Amino acid sequence: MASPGHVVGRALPRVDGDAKVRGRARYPQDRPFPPDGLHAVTVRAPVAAARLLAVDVAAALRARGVVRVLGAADVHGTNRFGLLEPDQPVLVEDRIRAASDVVALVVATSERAARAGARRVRLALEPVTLLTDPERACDPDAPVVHPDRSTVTDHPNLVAEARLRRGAVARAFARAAAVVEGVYATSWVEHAFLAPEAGSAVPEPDGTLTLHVATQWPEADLRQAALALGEPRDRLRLVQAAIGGAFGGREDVSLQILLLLAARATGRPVRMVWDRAESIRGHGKRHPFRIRHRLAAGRDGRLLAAEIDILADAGGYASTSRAVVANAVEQACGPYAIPAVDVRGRAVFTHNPVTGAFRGFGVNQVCFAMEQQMNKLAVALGLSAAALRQRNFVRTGARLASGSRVVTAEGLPRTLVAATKRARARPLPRARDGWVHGRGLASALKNVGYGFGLDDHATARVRMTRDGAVAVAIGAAEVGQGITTVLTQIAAETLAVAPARVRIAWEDSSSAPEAGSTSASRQTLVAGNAVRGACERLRRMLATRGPRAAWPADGIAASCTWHVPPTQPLGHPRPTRHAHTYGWSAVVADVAVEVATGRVRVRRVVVAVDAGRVINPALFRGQVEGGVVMGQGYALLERCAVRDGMPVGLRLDACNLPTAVDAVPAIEVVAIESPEPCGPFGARGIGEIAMIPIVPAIIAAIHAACGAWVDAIPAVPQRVRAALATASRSNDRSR
Amino acid sequence: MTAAATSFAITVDVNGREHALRVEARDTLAALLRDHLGLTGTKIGCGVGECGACTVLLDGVPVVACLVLAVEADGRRVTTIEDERDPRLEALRQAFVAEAALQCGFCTPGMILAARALPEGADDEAVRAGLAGNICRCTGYTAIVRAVARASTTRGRGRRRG
Amino acid sequence: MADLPPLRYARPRTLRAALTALARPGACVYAGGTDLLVALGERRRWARFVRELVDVKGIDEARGVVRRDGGLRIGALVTAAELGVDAAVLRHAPALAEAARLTSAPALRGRGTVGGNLVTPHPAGDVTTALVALDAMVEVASARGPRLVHVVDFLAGQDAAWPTQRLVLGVRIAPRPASAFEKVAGRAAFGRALVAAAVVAHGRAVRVALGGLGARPFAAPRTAEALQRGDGLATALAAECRPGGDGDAAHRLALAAVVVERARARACA
Repeated sequence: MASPGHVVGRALPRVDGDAKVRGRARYPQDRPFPPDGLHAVTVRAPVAAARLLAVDVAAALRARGVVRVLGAADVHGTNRFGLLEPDQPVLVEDRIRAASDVVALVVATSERAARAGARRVRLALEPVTLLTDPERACDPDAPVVHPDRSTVTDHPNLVAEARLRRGAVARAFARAAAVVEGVYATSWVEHAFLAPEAGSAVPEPDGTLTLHVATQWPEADLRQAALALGEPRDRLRLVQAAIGGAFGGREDVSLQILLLLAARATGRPVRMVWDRAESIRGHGKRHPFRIRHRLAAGRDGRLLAAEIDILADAGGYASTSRAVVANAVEQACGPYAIPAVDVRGRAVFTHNPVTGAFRGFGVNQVCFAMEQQMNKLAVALGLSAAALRQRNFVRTGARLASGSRVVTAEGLPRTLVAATKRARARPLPRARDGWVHGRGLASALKNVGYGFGLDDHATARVRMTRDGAVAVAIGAAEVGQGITTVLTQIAAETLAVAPARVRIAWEDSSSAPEAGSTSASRQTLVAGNAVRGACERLRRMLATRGPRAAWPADGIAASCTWHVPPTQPLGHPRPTRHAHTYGWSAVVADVAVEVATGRVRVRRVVVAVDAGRVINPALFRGQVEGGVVMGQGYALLERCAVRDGMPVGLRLDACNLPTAVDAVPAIEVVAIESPEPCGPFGARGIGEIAMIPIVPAIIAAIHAACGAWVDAIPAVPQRVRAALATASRSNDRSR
Repeated sequence: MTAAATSFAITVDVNGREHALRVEARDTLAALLRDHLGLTGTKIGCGVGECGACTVLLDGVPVVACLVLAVEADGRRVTTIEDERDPRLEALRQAFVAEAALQCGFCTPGMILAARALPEGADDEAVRAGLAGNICRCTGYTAIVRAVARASTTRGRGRRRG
Repeated sequence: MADLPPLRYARPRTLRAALTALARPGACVYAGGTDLLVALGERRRWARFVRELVDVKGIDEARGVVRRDGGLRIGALVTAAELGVDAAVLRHAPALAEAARLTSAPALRGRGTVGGNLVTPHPAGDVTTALVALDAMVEVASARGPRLVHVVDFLAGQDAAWPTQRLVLGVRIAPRPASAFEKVAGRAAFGRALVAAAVVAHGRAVRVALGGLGARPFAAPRTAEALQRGDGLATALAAECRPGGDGDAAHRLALAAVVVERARARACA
C-alpha cells in the first residue's frame, strides 16, 4: 500500500459540495439573463429522414415577439459539425437524416413567444426510403444515408471499419477442445443526465462572443463553432459553471453553435433551455451492437482463439462512431492473452438516432459478449468462472489480444481475488416464494486516455501569491465526477499546503488552458499529471526564492503540459500499444429471479477496481457505486424505443431509470492499488471501469439462478421468461 | 380566487419570508420560485413530475413544484433548498457533503427536501421507498441513504450508544 | 418546464359555484393536476379545449373518508397518500389501500386524487382498478343533487370526456376486508402497471378487476369464475384481455395469471 499522503488518499469533502447542497451552484439554466435578451427554440422535423423542400416561416415571423427565424442560409461559415467527421448540418439545407436534425431556429423576446413561433413554422417534406436495419446498411441496394459523403469507405453507409487479425485462427478452432458460439445484442440507451441542455450566448462590446454552457470538451465546441460561424477561434469564449451530469452525452455539440449563431445574427444575448423531450431527442445515444462471437479453448481452459464480428448502428451521422468501434475492436477480447484473434467491427449509417460517446465507449457491449462467452466456456469445461479467467489473464509486459503490450497488469488478478473472496463471505439464500438465487462473475478492462496514436495532453498553470494562496488554471470539465477536488488534493499534496488554500479555475476558456475532453476516464491521469508537474516546477522555484514579502506583486507561477506517452492506431505495422494505460475490475453480482414473471432483483454487488492509487476514497466509492447502478439499469431496465428512426419515449419515465428502490441495496467496493507507473501519485482513472463488468456479472448470475442464458440486454422480464422457456425446452430434449 | 381570472395577486411565505406577487394562472410553483423570486436552487429535470428534482415542501408536504400551480401557493408556506432556518435541513446538507452523497448536484436540492419530509428514524428501506420519486443518475443512491441515516438524530452520528 | 397554454383559474368555494363554473365552455376539473398539467403542457389533442381550470380542492362534499351504511364513502379529493394509510380503508377495503400505496411516486401520491384517477383515461389506473373490483358506486355531482353511477358505467361514459367537466364527488363501496391488489410494473416507482389485478372475495363470490390489459381497468368475470373453479385461468384471461402497446401480449397474459393468483391468495388469506 502506498504511503499515505497528507491530502492524497483522504476523503476530502468535495470542493463544490457546499454550493450544491445550498442550491447556490449555478447550472447554465440558472444563470441570470437580461430582460431584454432573446430566447431561441428549435424546429425539428417530425420524421427521421426526408428531403426538405421548403421551410415556411412567414406565419412564425408574424407571431408576437418573434424577432428572427434562422435557417441554413444564415450559417456563414461551414454548415457542418462533428467531432471526427463534420457531417452534421447546424441547420438542415435539404436533407434530414436523423431525428435530432434542426431545421430552423426561432428567436423571440420570450421563451413562450419562441415556442409559439416554432409551432407556426411549416415544413414541406418529401419522403425518402428509410434505412432502419443496420444489417441491411451495407447491402448493395440499401438506401444511402449520405450520398455526398467525402470520406471513402467500402460502402457509402459504412462509417468506419476496424480490424484486428493475429495468429492462425482457423487452425486454432480446428484443434480446440471446446468452442462456444453466441450472438449478443444490446440496445440504444439514453444518458439521462439530470440537467437538460441549456445555455446562452452573449455578444461582448469588443465584438467577441461568450458562450455559457455545460460541456465535456470546451475546445472541441469552440473549434466546431468557429468553423460554422466562419470566425476566428479567438473571437469566441466559453465559460462554464456547474454541469448537471454528462456520461458522454455532452461530448458532441448540442446547442452551442445554434446559440452563437443567434447571438451573432441578432446582436443580442440569446438563451435556450431544452426540456427533457428535446434533450432526449437532441443528443446521441449509446450504440446498439450486434456481436457474433466464437471462442475456442483447450481442455485446460487456455484460450486459443476468438472470432468476433461487431456491427454498430451509428445512426444518421458519424459523431464518434469510428472511435467507438475502434475501441470496441481493440478491447473485444477482454483482459486476456489470446494468441489467435480475428475481430471485425463496423459502424454503419442508418436513419436511426445518432449514437455517440457514453461511459464505456463501446467496451461495455463487447465486455458483455466476451464475459458471457467466458462464463459459458467455464460451464462447458467444468471450470470455475474465476479459474478460467486467472488462467488467461494478461500479465505485465505481455500483449493483449489486440497486440497492446501492457505496462502493468499487476492489479488485474488482484481484482478477481478480492471480489471473489469478499463475495464468498456471504452465502446465497435459499429459493423461496418463487424466487431463486444465483451469483455471477465478470472481469473487465478499459483504456484510460484516448489512445490510438491521438495527441492526448493537458496543460496546467499554477500561481502562488504572497498570501500563500494557490491558483491552478486548467480547463478540465467538472461534470460531477469530482475532478476539481482530485486536482485540489494533488496540488495541495505536491506543494505541501492546506487544500483550503487551493483554487482550481477550470471554467473559462480564455484563462484556463486546454485539458482535453472529460472522457475516456482520462482527467485524473492527464490533468492530474499536468497539475502535479506544474506544482512540482513551482515547488522547485519556490525553494530558490526568498521570503514571500520579496516576491513579485503577482506571485510566482509555473506551468506544465503533460502528454500521455505514445500509442499506435489499429493497423499500425508494429504497434507497441494502442492505449498506454488500462484499468481493471472484477464484479460478483448476486441476483434473485422470480421464475414465474422473469423479474430480476439485484441483491448485492461486490466490485473490485484497480485505481492505481485512490486520491479520494469517498469520490472513488461514489464513482463506483454510481457505475454499478448505471450498469444495473443497462443490464435489466433501460432501452430507448425507436420506431421508423424516431425515438418514441421522449420522457424520463420511458427511459426506465433505476429508482432508489430498484437500485441494488448492497454495494461493496474494494479498492486495489497497483500503482500506475506514469500516474500522479500512482493514480489512474476509474469512471468507466466501474460500470463495465456489471452487465455480464448480472446476466451470469441470472443463469446461475435459473439456468437461462439471456443474450440480449436489457434482460427485461419477457426476455428472461423466453430464455427460461428455451432452456427448459433444451433440457427436455436432452432427457 | 372564486372568480376565474388569468392572473392573480398572491402572498406566499417562502423560507420564512413573505412575498407579494402577481402570477399568471398558468405559472407553475417552479416558475414562481425560479423566475419570479430568482431562487434557482429548485431544479427542473423533466417538467412533468418524473424526476423529483423540483421537490419542495408545501406546508411541510413534499410536492413536485413543476406540477403545482403558482396560485395554489397563495397563503401557504413553501420550503426550498435555500431555507437557512431549519436545523434538520442543515444536518442533511452537512451529511450529504460528509458522505459524498452528491456528484453533479442537480438532483441534490430535491433529494434533500424529499429526505427532510421523511419520518425521523426511518430505516434504510423506508428511506429508499420515500426517495423513490427522486432520480439520481450519478451516485447509485447508496451514499444518499448513508447520508440520511447520518443526519438522523436517532440513527446518525450524534446518537448516543447505550 | 411544462409550458402551459393560456389559462384561467378559478377556485369556487361551494359545490354550486363549482357546477356553475364547470358549465362554462373550456372549463374542466382541476384537482391534483398530476396528469392534467402534463397533458396540457404537451399540448395533447384531447386537452386542447381547456381554457379554464376549476380548482375543486375546496369543495367540502368531496372530502374525507367516512363509514356509511356499513361501508365507506370516500371523497373524490382524498389523495393516494391518504388512502394508503387511512385506518378505515385499510380495514374495510385493503385492496384500495394497497393500490394507492403502489401507485406512481411519493410526492405524486400526495397530490393525485381518487377522482383524478377515475377520470384520467389510462389502461392502468391503480386506484381505479381496485374500485372496479370493489363494485364502487361513483357519486357524480349535478345541479339536481348527486347521481350514483356504477364505476364500470362511469368509465364507459368517461373515455372521450377528459379533461372532464363532470365533477366526481366521491365513491361508495361496501366493506370488503377480503380483498387485495397486486401489480407488476417496469420498475419500483413511477412504473405504470404492466399488469395489475384487484381481487375481492365476498362469501362464495369472487370479483376480479384487471389493469393494464385493456383501454381502461375492467371487470373480468370469466377470470373470476376460472379462479373460483380453480381451472381455465389462462383461457379466461386470453378471452377477456386486450393487452395493448408495449411488451408482448403473451408475456402480459402470463404475468396476469401470476398476479391474479397472488391477489386471490392474499384476499382469501
